[in-house]
Amino acid sequence: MTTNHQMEAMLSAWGRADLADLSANRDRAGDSARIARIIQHAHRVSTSRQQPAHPDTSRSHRSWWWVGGSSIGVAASVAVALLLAGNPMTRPATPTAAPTLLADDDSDDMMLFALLYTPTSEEEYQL
Amino acid sequence: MHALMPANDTAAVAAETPEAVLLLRAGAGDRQAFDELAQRTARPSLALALRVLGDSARAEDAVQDALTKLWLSAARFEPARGSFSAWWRRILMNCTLDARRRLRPVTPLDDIAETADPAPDPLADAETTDLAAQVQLAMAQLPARQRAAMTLFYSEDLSMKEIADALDSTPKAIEGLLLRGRTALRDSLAYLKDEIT
Repeated sequence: MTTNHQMEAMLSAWGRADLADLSANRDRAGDSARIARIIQHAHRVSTSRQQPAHPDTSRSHRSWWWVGGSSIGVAASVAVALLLAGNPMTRPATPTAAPTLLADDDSDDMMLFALLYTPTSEEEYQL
Repeated sequence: MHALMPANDTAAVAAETPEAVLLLRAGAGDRQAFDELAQRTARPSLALALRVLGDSARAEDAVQDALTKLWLSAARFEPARGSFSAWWRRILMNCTLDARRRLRPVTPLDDIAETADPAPDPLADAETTDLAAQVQLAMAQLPARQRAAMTLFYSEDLSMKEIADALDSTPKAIEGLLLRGRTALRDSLAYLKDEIT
């Protein structure tokens, strides 16, 4: 059984070892050839493979659910606003301002008119 | 080159390694920069992959895969968010562990506890006399993630957090991997104790 100190010393030696020291047969020539092939491969990749387009950083990175949720929220707000205002397609046409009674110098005529005049239901609604 | 970088990256690059600068250039399409980066990283990366895989040919394949991914993802590298070495280590370890998974034979469920490679026979290779190579042989008995954690801890001097980042794990899990790795190696390296002063 090895002690902790011995274990750590062995593992440290292994950790510090160079590439060639790790090969069981110390194949330095083989290691050099491998490194050359790796470098060659990297060169081939960079000349033959196109890098994917870099995402545009000027645009905000919002996910699809964020955009979708916002759209639904806006649509719901518009719908609620329309409901509160009433549906313009079914609402009866009404004047935007209350009817104005012009003042008349002849107050007797006005009083007579008020006594005799009976507004229709439509006029009542408007008033 | 700096004209190609966002302004907030420029300060980060100033404090970065030459490799990070090369990768930023590669990300802007500079092939020469990528070639130079490959030359700088090939040897240490091959050694790292060899420690984990225990086989030179597979280690070479893993490094080549990792460099391909590095080229394709170079434009996404942001020095402000992490160092080149952390970025590269993660790609390399992913490719190394993938290579090991790809080549592992199908294991019957009953043998799952024996997922480690066959234990090495120290006497099998008479030419192997170096201590590091002996430890490398003993490492073959460990599962891949234990080896990866041991490699990053002893050869890269990384913290638990850094190892966890590289292996997509947690520091607590890494501590467990290291503990189990040391325990497994204790007996198999016992015959080397006389070589340690």
